[in-house]
Amino acid sequence: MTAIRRFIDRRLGRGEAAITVPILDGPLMPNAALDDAEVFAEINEVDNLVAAEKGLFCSSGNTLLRLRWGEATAEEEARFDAPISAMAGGKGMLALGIEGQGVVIRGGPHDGLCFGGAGETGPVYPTSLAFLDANTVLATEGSDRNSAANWRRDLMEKGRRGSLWRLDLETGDATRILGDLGWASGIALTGSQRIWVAESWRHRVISVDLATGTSTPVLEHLPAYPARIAPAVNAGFWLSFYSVRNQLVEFILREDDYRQRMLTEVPEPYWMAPALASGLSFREPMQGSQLKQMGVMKPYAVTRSYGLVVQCDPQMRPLRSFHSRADGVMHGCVSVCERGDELYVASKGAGRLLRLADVAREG
Amino acid sequence: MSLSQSIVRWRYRLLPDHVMGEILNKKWADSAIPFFALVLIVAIFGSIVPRFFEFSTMSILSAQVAELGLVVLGLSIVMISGGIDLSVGSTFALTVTTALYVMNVQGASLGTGLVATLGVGVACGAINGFLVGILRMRAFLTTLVTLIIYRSIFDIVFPKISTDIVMNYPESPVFEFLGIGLIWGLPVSFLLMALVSIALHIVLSRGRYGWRLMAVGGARRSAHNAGINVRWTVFSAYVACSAFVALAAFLFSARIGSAASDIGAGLELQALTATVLGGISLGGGRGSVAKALMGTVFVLMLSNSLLALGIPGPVNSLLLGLILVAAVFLDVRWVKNRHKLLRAVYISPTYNKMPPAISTDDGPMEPNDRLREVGVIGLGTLDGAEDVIFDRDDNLYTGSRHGDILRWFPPDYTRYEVFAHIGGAPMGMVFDAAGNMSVCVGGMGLYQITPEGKVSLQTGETNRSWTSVADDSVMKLADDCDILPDGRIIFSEATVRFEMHDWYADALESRGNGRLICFDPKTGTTKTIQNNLLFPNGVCTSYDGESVLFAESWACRISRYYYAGPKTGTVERVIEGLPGYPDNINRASDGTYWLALMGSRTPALDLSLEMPAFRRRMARRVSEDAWLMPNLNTGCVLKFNEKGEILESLWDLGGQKHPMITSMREHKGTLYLCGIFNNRMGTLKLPDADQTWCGLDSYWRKPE
Repeated sequence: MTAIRRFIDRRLGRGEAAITVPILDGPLMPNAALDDAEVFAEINEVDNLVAAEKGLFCSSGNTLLRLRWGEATAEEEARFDAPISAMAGGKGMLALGIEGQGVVIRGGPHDGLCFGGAGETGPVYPTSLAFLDANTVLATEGSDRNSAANWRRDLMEKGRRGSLWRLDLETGDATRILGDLGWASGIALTGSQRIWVAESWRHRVISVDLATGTSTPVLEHLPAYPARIAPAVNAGFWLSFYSVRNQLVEFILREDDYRQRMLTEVPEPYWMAPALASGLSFREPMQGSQLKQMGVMKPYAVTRSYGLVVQCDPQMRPLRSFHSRADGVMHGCVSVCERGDELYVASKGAGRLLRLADVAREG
Repeated sequence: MSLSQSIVRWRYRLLPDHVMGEILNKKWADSAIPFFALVLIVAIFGSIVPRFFEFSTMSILSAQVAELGLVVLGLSIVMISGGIDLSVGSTFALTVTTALYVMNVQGASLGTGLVATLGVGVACGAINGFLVGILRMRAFLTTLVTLIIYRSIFDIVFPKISTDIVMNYPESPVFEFLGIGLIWGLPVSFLLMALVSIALHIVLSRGRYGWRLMAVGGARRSAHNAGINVRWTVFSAYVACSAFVALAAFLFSARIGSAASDIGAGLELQALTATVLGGISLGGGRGSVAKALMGTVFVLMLSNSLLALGIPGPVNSLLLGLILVAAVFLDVRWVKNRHKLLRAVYISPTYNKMPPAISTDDGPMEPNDRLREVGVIGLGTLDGAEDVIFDRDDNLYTGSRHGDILRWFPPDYTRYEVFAHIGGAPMGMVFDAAGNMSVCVGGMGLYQITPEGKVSLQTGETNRSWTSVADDSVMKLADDCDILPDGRIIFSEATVRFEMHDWYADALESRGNGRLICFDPKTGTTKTIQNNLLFPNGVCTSYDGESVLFAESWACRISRYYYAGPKTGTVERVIEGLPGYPDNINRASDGTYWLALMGSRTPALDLSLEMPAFRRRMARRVSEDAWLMPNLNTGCVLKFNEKGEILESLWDLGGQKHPMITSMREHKGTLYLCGIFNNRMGTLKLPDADQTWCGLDSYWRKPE
């Protein structure tokens, strides 16, 4: 019966085959806040912001950088032989996710401890990290096949191989808490046994009970692919996003022939898929409303890349949002962090570190 | 090429699905369902009813068709006007009584009888028309009431004269001939009905009255606003209906010669079934004579066959009622969903595998930023300058989306005037030897503008092609033109399937929907010279005196058409596998050609061109805003020579100032850039070019 219904649905574009994308409305009403924000520093592929006493840590490809508070020049702290894909700070330690090499601890009593490296269990391609306590790190892995940088491929392959891990720093044990996630990309603590995990390809944030390993969705039907979750001072959260959903991408995800041929025949930069930045090459695909009219790209045009940061309350309900729309460039804002009244946003797509003054203040 | 790809390619070559949409677009497509219903009923009953196809059966059927057909035609007129007449059965009974009384009892002549019968019919219709049309009462209820009233009058009068009618015979031999006479083996009444049908068909489909009737039925208020006297039109429809019923009654009287007390009972059901089944919409505004007659034949065949099979009358009526319900259901669904169906099937992409693109990584096509820092003309004033041209006095002419040709004055081109107003979007332009401008106008055709600014149509129609379902004689998107040394103008029509604002739907189809057309001003004739081109765009007369170059945008190629010389009529490829979508071609001062690439090819779109079904589903399911389209935000201008070798290219990466370059023209050492969706024109100095070169001189020599 379901098979017949699916067959009919596919013919008529109903049910599962219907391609509708939620619109940006309510607290997600578009603005140009990210484009209007101060460009604090220009750092190529800036990502993984962590606020610490010594300054603002961030990554740029393989390099770990530090910006002293109030200074826009970055100092190189360390260099790895693979890109840094996740980072978390706490108790004088830094946990770093290195593509293909797992999680490395830097500083503190467990300095040099490693999880998920060659021959070890643990997340091989970490996408986000969080310290649960001084001896425990929680980690997400987008997929055990595709590296964090290959998120576009995993999305277009409809990957469901993401997982959530608990890493015990004292014993060195890595335990998988949850698997089969559609690209787990962000993690945040709530102060209890429940934590938040962003599940990008299902456009939602789920709540996971660490004791039982059960999960329930809390924020669903997002119009964008959620990336990392950062805590806010008022016990709320900052949600960052890879890009917005696009009706044509949703359609291609249902068109297996085209999708598979695209994955094999078309070079990756030219895929019809979401991206951290777009318009870099004239070989990138163009969609109807992106055609410039009277010399202007319409801000409301459909787009493959977008900048979106959403502030949520402690129950993960959106309160307000900061955007960079189709005509902007501050796209691919996949990491944010708060310091005092200021919010730092890493636009990985544009290679810019943005500073939004006075937005992190309570009320 | 793999097997599955070959299958896809052949499938789209052999099964042209775009025809489906064109058929649905036809007015007669509405008749398809009743026609197939008719064929079905003939097939079914022809096989099970004895003597179905015999002459006597057919003869009786044709006489019945004559009578019921006239009633149905009358009812159709009312329904086209947006009303309904349920009183046809009672009117029929009254008029039959009148005819028999006048002919049999009074012994009147044929003329007197006919006038008397029509008179009673018209009177009945006038009452209906007055109530519904003038007093604007509800048609359904009003005619239901008049049905009862007329029937009651009949019931009162008929018993008093029925004996007289039966006891007497008509004295008119012509009347008798009308009833039973045959001409060419067909009943006279049938031929009469055929004549009336043809006349009515002409009135309805070609006449002013029919046009008004459709307008009133389709949209009462709009018809009123357009100046049509709605009340009078509705009134006249009821009168005409009853007159038709009276005529049918007269023929019936002549054939039967007597009457029973149940005459005309249930006629409204039969007539209504026939009308709705024929596809005459209950909502009004749609219908034709052919549909009415198809419905009539259907209903009569059905009831006669059921009678022949010995099925009792009430069951017969029940079946008729059920068919009426089914027909009404179909009518409602069809009218409601027709445009949806049409939209769903009209866009029909086809297989179009692109050749590998010429490399842009190195060589003359390597991107640069030479178009980034260019001069600007008319920033914020221009809107839709698709092409540009100069006269010998250095005046610059360009079009605008508002339908104007603007003339900008030298030397700095900051002042301008409206040279001529055409009304449609001007595209490619050319000057003839006498200084008259010819301009292609999207949606309108080829226009001429004299140096004084007088506008006249050169051609808007070409010969209709034999194989096309849709009438392709009218021009939908004349794009670019150029002039031959003998004064003939060759121009491209980008697509015959879409209007100008739907050009991207043509890109999605990637079928050869366009053509090259030649217009001869000496004889005023227009002829299509090349068909099935993929969005033919730029046209440029070659220096060789025997060919024109033309660009096919969605095929990314430049071809050459020979209009003279030994290869007359043939087409040769000049450049294949361009990395972008070619637009206008114009002459350069050094004997080569400029070509605008309005956009760049993208691998994601090129892949989809090999997957027509994917594109078709995309057109149906995805909003137009999100469709995969050619990347028209980054293009370039390139130069090529007669052999088709690309010499150099000028780019504006990212399309910051000149996205979608549609044309360019060199004039006295400067290259002028146009874009149909841009708000400016660009100027690029060409220091190495001939600083005195004017395009007109290269066509018509320098004046002495």
